[in-house]
Amino acid sequence: MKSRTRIIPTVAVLVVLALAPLFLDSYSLDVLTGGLIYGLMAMGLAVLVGQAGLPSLGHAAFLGVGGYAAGLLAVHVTANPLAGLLAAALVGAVLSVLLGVISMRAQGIYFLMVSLAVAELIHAITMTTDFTGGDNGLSGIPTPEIPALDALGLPHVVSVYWYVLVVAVVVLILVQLLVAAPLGRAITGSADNADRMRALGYNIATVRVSALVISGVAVAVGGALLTQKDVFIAPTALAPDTSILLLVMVLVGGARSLVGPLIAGIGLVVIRSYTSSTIGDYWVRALGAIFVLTVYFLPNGLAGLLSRRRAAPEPSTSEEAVRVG
Amino acid sequence: MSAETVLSLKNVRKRYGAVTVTDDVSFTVDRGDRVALIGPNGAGKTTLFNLIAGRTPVSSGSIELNGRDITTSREEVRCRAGIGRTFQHSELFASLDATGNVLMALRRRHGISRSIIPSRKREARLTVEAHEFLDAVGLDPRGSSRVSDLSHGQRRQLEVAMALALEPDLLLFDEPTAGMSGAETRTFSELVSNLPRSLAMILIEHDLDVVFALADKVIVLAAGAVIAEGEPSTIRGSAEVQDAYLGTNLGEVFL
Repeated sequence: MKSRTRIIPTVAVLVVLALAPLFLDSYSLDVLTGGLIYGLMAMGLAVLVGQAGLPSLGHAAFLGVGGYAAGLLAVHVTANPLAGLLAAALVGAVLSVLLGVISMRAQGIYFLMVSLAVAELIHAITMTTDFTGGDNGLSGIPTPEIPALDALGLPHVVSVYWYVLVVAVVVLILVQLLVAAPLGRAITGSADNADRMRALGYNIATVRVSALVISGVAVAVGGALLTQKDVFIAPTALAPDTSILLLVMVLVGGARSLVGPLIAGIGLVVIRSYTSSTIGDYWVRALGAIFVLTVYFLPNGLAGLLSRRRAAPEPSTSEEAVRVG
Repeated sequence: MSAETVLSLKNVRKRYGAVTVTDDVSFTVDRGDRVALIGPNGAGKTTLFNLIAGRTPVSSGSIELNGRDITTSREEVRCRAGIGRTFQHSELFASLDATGNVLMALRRRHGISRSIIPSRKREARLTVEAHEFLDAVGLDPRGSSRVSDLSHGQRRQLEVAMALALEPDLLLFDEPTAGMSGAETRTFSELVSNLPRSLAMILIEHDLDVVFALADKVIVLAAGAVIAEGEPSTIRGSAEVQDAYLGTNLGEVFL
């Protein structure tokens, strides 16, 4: 019943997004493409922060390894964008498992510090190795070939936009399904009460690594999309600012939700792009203000605002107890 | 050791530095046994449960479950091997309702806890099963209230439902009736006495009415050591137990 009431607005939003190239100029479309990518990454991080209860300040690392994997593959092997996504997903999964092993017993602030350290390590590696182009970044990445869209003779910015939109929707659906599956319930259960989970026979370490992999793969795929859109990636993309930005997107959108961070991701990128000419360096301060105001007035983020309006009496059947959307 | 032995403790000892909290404890529990573990506060009853369930590692000695050495197994491995427990202080999923809590146990027991495919049909089937367990412990399955809305006694009942949902060979009840109302305690006693004799249980219990009504064997623990073991009638009459238990007349305090 609940899902039926959601179908119409969801389809409406998708139709508007799909038709966006008809009424947006190419700069705006490029901004929206970036927004979708960041929204996708924020959604991936939300799985870890909201579902698994592990706040990460290092998810720029996943953006980075995904972005560099896709870029290096395109430079040296193939410009097929799907191969790039696959490579990014694989590298993202490996890094997730590594982070999971390193941070085995770390919770809360300790996990935050470990994730930050790992991200800075990878940041430093990209800056100092020739293979990745060092400080200058990885250039000479060929334009991704999207045969189905290129054949239509569309402007490149439009085909990239549609490609990103399709990938974002597919990832959103996959992550929604995973969260609703028993594995997703185990992830929220472990965040809720790890002691009880062990006494029920759950292996907490496996559950945690699963959450890290879901989250890491989604962000790495976002990183690959970013590289494919810009045909460039540099170490600055892996700086702590990016991790902070992603975490703020999650909190503004509502960590327990997936769609909320997606919307917050799009929104913040759009705001940043259109205010950079006027407020410039004050953007970081503006972001801080947005963050403080959200924590103060919307502790459950945008998603909390939506669900409060939708359902006055708290929904509390077991099906809805673990919020999916 | 008979083939029916479910749990066997041999010289189990637990030390924290110079403090010995469990001292050379040995006993066996057979299939169908209902053992009550009694003793004054601080006797080491909950510690013993934690040693059996694997929450705390033993310092020395060995523990066998169904003939298999589990002394060094992790807690979740022991649970899968057949140990279900309730906690002295309820350990529940605060964000879920009663049914959701039992479902967490059922998904694991049915081996689908790592499934990445959501299925409404499967969840509906498990929900029916969860309601049966809630019904059995006297909780209204249709009441979909969150854990935070449950009374203290209802939380204890939910703990029992979750332990039962694991269908263990060995059930560990840590003060299940503490905080329950008289009616809830009677429901619980009835439930336990109707449990199949295919499972063994150990019960930490301060309500001696419950102990003598349910247990067919009593183990008395004091200062980490077993000071008496036997049938309830024997223990009830033992002057040594009364003395060590509280240093006073047991009858005056409890009976």
